[in-house]
Amino acid sequence: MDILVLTLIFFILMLIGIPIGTSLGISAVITIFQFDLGIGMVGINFSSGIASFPLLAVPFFILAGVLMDKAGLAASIARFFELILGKATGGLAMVSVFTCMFWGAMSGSGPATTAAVGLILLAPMIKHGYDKNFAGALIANASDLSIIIPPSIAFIIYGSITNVSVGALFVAGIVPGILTGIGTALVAYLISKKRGYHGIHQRGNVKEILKALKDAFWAFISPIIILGGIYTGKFTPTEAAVVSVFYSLFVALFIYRSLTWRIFMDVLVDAAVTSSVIMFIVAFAGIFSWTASVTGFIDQAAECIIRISPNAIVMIILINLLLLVLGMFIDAISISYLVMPVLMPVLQAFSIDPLWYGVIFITALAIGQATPPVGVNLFTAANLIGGDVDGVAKQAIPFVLMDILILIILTLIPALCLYLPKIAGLY
Amino acid sequence: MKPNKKLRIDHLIAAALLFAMAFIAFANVISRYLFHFSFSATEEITINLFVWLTVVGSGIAFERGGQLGMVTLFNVFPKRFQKAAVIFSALLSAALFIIVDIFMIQAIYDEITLFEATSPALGIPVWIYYIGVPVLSVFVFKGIYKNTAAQLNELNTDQAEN
Repeated sequence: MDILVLTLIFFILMLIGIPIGTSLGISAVITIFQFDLGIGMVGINFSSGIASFPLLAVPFFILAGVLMDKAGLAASIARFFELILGKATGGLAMVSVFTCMFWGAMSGSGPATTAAVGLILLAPMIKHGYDKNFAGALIANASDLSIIIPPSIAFIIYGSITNVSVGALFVAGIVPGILTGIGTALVAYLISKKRGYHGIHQRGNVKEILKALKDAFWAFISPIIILGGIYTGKFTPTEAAVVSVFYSLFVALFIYRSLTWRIFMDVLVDAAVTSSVIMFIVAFAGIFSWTASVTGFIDQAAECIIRISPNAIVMIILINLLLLVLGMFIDAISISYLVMPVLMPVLQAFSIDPLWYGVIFITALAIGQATPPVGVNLFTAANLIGGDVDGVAKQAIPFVLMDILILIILTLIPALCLYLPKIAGLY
Repeated sequence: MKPNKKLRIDHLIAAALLFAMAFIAFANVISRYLFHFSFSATEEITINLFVWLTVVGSGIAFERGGQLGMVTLFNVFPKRFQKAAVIFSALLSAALFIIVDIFMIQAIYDEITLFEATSPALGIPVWIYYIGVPVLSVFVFKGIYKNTAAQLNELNTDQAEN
């Protein structure tokens, strides 16, 4: 049986709705068996695919995010931005974008951000006359792009596949993350202006704003600890993640006093499950790409790709297009494992910087996740507003166009990603 | 998520593992930065608990129907195909873990009888780390079974209504 047939098996399994981890695992097992690659190692390989210190950052960042969510920090961040921006045209829309950005700086996952911020801001937006599909699309898009803002699980996975420093990736994501946030806010403002979505009330007075700032203070400090620690080289990303777990635990227990044993238990279980969903894919994707590599499939595929064009920019554009399409259907982590092993030799052949490319890669995937027809975040948003995905998807189009514009800018100006990691001495 | 009244054993194990991992890792960071004393050998425990956590957590994820997959095509299947796909999916997922378990048990057996390898940092026999995978995968099978039963049930009721 040819390796291509086995790849085909994987795609068929995935298409009929078999969990991606299972599809990867089963096709890997068949390949190992077929080519006699040592089936006896499957058990150990499963466990060694998970047992890695850098990947520990995944459950820890997830746990910190769930803790802060349960502590009610998202609401106090939203309140602060509302007092400052609420009065402007499209005020609540922009409040949503900035809350998503800040939430993205504490939590590492897109759908989790959609759920946390959506629960707080969707209802007020709809109440104040915003089209509910527009509101859903806005939050889906803003949270999706928040995975570029560190900490980010997508970056942890990319780093673990490519051996690029996760700390450097996090720092490289700061400027692009802020850019996409501003871009999204701009689109939200222009659409609000055209449709007459007015501000909500008087701007908060200084006293109110200071009070809100005090309430949200603990939330605002968190990214400073995480990023500051990594930026100055004090913490590795995994250490930063575990520090942020105990920081959030401290805030939830002693500042917000919103944590009971019962809730804490649920928080731990939810975080364990969310992390396991990712690690289930990671474990079997690791075995899958290992088999693809020892059977020589990856080299062949990479050679084919290299032959398509001698021009690095053309190559990046083509790959980005592929990623945008894949991202509409599959989650970012599976795509990273499917695509990156093949792309690494390609990057090398074109002398493309893997750190810079990491930001481009994750940005392209993030756009795919917020893009019609499928987009995982659109589903979360559609669920929250009780509407259908098609309606949300239509409203998402202007945001996606803006995201693509930003992707092009990041592709043309690598310094936007590379300047910060360089001056921090991380790269 | 609905808060369920009774504490479940798999939930308890998952929560305890995750908390233990976080606690060990945090103690490590604290001792290194504050007391300049490192017991980073315990890192080995953390990453192996991480493997165990993934197995238990995957079981709960299966039960909640939370594993990531493409549902685009599945949703347009006729109901009969959907039922077949649900059963096929459950069998494949279970088969995958059975394969992992068989070779894990084989490896444990070899370790105990033959190699007697110990872990690099703490000198713990490696089979102790391995054994969590086959033991805890009981919850994976349970999760797959429960979810499949629930999905089939739902498809049957849908069919009855139409």
